[in-house]
Amino acid sequence: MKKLLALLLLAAPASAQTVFDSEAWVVGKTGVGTSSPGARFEAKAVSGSVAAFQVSGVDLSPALRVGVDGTLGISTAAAARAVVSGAGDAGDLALELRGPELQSGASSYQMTFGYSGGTSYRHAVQSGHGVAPSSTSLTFLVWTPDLSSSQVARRKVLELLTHSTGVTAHVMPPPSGEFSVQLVVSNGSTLGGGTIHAAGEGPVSSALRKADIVHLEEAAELQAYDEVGALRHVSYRYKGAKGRLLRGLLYEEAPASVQYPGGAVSVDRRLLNAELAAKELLRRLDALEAGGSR
Amino acid sequence: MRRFLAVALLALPCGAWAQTRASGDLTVTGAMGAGTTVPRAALEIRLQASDAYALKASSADGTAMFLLDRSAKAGLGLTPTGARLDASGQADSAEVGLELRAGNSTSSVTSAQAAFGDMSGARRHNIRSRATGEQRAGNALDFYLWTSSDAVYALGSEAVMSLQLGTAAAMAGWHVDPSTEPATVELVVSSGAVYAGGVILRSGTSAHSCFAALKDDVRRFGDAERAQAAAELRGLRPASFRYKGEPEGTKRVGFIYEEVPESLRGPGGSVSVNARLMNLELALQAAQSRITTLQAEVERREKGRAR
Repeated sequence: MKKLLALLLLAAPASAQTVFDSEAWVVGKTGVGTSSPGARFEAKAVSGSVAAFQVSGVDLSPALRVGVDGTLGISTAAAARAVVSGAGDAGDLALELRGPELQSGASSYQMTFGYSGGTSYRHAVQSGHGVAPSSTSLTFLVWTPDLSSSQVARRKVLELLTHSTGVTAHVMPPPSGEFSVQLVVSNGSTLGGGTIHAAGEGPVSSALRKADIVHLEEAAELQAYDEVGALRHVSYRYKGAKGRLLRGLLYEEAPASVQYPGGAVSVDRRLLNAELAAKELLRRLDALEAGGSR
Repeated sequence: MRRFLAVALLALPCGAWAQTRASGDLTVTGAMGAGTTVPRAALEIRLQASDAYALKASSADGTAMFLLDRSAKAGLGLTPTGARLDASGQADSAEVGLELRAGNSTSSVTSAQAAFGDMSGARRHNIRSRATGEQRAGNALDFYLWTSSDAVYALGSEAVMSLQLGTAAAMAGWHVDPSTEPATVELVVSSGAVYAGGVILRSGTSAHSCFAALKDDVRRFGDAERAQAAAELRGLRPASFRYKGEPEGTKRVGFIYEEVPESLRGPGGSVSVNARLMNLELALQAAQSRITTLQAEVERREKGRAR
């Protein structure tokens, strides 16, 4: 009889079902489906079951479930690696990331996007927080080959930020020379065929930002006058596009002074050429009105 | 001894053995504490000092599918390393890493899909999604920043950018849309080296907001403005230059903000393309008027000669 008692005390009971009608406290490790738990609590999936671990609501709906396929569902069964279910219309917030309070110059991230199950080539989203009007931001970074494969992206490509007078979206791609175009606006059928709708645009022009300034004089005006006179304007339609014909120039026929990288014709340079040509035109008009000619 | 054995059998489920094994199903109708005798939830797992992991859900072959480590970092399909939640998967195999199903079906957005707060959960920038149930119009991802005009723990309410499919109000796919405070500049395109030194590739169309319905205080320009534009055009001093920070040898052409007339100046030290174009048009109109006068004078002289 003593032997039987010892067996009961030391060996595992082999009940078909064990029921605790009150609370159960396990001070040691708990293994479910395993006799060697690798954590304080390990639930090992059983073939044929739908989940390895589930926390259910009072209506048995899953509050937290780890499926046998390794997916994590919060308030739902998961269709992705991790799924969070809720209703934004009812004020639910699906995911809140409370990363370190990132000030400008921070080196960590709120969210990274790795490659194929690993931590290689990680793009990232970084947030900056502050109480001053000019110090909050959301920054999107893309991994670039100058980093090792395990490093998180450092190259900022887009930043949404507040400043003292409002908020701005800032497209801020890699250093000059790596890419000839920083923002492409397409229309769904044609690369770069989109339209920008805004009240104004203009190049940054302060002398404080410029070097090697040389003013363009009369020779440039004469050249522009000739180039504008030789322009061959066309109507056209982008390949694949429909609708109203557009009007403009062909890159290959435009003078080099208005050509721009990526097969573009610079509106700003065209305008500058037209301004130079107009100055020459006015000069010739002056001469005509004075009775002379060039 | 029999009585003692009966007590031992009954007490077994609640006993504190070195190891207890239930080979069949185990049902706990009360609360369960793992690592604690005072569970504060239906199931509470309390870490002990020697534990590396609090919770592990493993597959039938023992592979860790979900791991929660002692620093409260969770790994899905991997051992958690740096992030609070680290999910492994392969999009190339049609897996989705993270799916958030708390989107908004109306435009009266009250919450967000993802919020980015500081450690206390304050100052939350956020991403909101709108799905109207239609194929296109009104579907959007909206980006909001928190500003000091928001309550500390409120979601940021400053709309900055929206990626959206066309509606009657806004046709753009990417809509930079500051909602309240006027910004000096709403969109800056930089190169890596020069602030606002970037290039935009688009079609030949540069469309400005021109509906009369959008405008107030409309005034037509006349000869005085044409003459002034012509004078300003004459005074322009185009220059070649490079932006500071660009490699030597880079050659751009344009104007110096400080040298151009007020009528051409835009915000943020820029020279407005639209204003330049309009000044040019006015100057050309002035020139056309002078040419008309000259032609009339030539005709008058030719007629005089013919007589």
